[in-house]
Amino acid sequence: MKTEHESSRDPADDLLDRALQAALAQPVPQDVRERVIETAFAWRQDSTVLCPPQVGRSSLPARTMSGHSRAARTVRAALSRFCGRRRLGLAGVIAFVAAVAAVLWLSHPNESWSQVADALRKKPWCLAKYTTPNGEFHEAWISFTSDVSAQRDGNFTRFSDHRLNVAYQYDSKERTLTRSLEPEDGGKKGADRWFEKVFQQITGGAEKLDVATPGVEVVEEKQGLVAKYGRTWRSYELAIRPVDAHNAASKPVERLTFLVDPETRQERLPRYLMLSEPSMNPPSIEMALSYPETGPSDIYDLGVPRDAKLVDLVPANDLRRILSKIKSAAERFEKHLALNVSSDAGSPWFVGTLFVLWQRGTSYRSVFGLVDAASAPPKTPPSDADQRRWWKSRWTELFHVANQVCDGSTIWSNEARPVDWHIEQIKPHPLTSSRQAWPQPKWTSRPVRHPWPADSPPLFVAYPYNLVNFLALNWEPVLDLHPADGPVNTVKVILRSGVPDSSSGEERYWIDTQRSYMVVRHESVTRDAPKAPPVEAINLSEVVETADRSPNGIWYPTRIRHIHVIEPTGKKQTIETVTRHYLNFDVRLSDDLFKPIDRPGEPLE
Amino acid sequence: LPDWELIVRTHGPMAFDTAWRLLGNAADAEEVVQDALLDAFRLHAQRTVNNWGGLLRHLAVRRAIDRLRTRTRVQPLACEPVAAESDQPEAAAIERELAERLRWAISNLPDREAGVLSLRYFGGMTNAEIATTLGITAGAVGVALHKARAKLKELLTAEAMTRRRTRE
Repeated sequence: MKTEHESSRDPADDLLDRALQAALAQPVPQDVRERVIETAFAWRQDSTVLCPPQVGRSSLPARTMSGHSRAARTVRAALSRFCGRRRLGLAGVIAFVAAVAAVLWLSHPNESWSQVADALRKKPWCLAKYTTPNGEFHEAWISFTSDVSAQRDGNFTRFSDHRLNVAYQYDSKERTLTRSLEPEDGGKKGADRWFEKVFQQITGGAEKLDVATPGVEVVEEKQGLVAKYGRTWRSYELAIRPVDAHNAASKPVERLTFLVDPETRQERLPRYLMLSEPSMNPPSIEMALSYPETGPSDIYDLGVPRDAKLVDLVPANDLRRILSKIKSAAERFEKHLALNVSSDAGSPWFVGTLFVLWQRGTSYRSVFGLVDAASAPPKTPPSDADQRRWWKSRWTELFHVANQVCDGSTIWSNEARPVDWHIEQIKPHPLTSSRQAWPQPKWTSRPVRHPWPADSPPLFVAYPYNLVNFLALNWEPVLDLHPADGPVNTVKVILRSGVPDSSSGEERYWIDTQRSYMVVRHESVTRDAPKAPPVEAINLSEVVETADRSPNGIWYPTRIRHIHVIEPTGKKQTIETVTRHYLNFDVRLSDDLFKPIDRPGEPLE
Repeated sequence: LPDWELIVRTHGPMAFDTAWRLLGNAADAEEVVQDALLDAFRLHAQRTVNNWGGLLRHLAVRRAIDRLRTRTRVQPLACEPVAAESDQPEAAAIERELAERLRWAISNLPDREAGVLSLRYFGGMTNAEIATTLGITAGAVGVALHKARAKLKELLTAEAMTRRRTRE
């Protein structure tokens, strides 16, 4: 006999409960569960997959031998990336400030501002709002506990889950929702630390802010009481400028003013933030900061229609795994001394320019060994000569020019060159100059935005930063597990630039799955899209011809063929070089090696 | 930093079980939990986490819901066999189908509701634990759960009626 409760129960409840029970009743596949757990240990034991270094990830240092370098990224660019790649906007700044505040307050509680942290825990969201002079409303949400953020401004709505590194962006004009992975760094790390310092000091009631940090120059700072909105506030005003070694003076100065209520000591939270910078549009904005109880749980909560067209740029699991393997190999590569020799194609192995590299993690020192024009030519080595030993000996006959030094957070470059060096550089190898005419080192510095342990020869070809962090470049990946071309045992990853215009291009990588996921072939291609069919041109081709393994079993190239196509005078010219790489892992590398001091005659021990 | 192995040994199985119940497919559950563990491993080096059990289940649920949404409608054949020696194969097949319909229905819920419901029923977490993990109030969890159940009932009933009409 049914009870009254049972007889009045909604049949739909029964259906749901039965369905839940059915799902719960399915026996868990124990073997698969165990395999998953063991795999997780394997990652750890390998110290591999997706284990970020403790320092912030950011830029590829110079491709030293090829002379390529990435310009230092500014704080402004970092902030812009944070808010979304398609549109740089002030909303990103808002979100960024709020996010940093959240991270800071929640992740570093201590006695001096534990009350602030407590207050914020009860207010898990921060909302920043402002309206532009033309009436466009902007808002940014940050969850203090969930590590998600959202912005809405103009035609764009964004939602980012930073724990999962997934970002959504909706373009209301196109009615398109794009889902993508955030870059590994999200552009945040360097600026994170800067804002962290600022907020720490503000919340601590500092009388004077000390916010010096690599990459950001404080032009001016003020603190005091200001009357605004009908009351008195404690203000913290900072004028900052991104540091660029080459043209610092041309960079715009950004002014940030935080208004904090001095009365409510238990809630020393900024209530207003003013930003001004002449090149911004508008040049100055005032944001009201509030701390609501709830916020959007997904992008649809921000008004995005559920039937919006979804463009999913999140790489498939296969690609993620491949990229994580590449990253793992780069990060596990041991400290070493590399003798890198560049030769013109067709030259014997002993005719070339020596470039020596001491590398330990993301720290390195690189030095050119140049031939003194006044010196006698070297003797031709016997046919059975040990190439590595021969070059080690040859080092003592060359004169040494420091190129770059990096301690993992700062790169120092020796800018000193003779007047006619640009002519010498395009002559055939080996590079020759006058020891007497060579000037004393002149060091300039810039912060390392994206430390990457495989940023120098030969590893930059084998484990390229751009491949692993392609999202920072807004490239779309295509994975071909069974490429019709390329070396055996390889998979092919193509990174396509997102804009299908005449400047579109592709980076093609063939990755050897049998050799620690080393890139064994790379092509950089541009496509003239307006032509039908589109005309492709390979501007750079790099082919690993021989390889060896490090003591950890990580493969690295020992001979690479590089073919560059250049147009110095409007006419295409092909430059083919071969680089040979002799690595020694049994080395002791002192910390002094990674300091910007000249060390002439550094022995190759 | 807490020991990674300890975290995985202690909380990994429950995360897997949660994903498995939500997905009903071993290969999918394996991939989803691997990805969740990768996410967690990254977090492990980056920040302090007070409740690894809750976080791992949350990450697994998020991934599993994403996976569910990529599936086409109901796929009963993708389901794992329930019990090899079932003496009631027909009943078992019906239960499997019912579970698959539930999964399809969950994939149609908004993120928060799908997540809360999954953590509650498949992750075995209390409302308070879910609230702490998601950074919302226990009241908000209750509301989300209520809404989720209501929508699931609606979806399952409508789906059942459609099936019945199709058969007729």
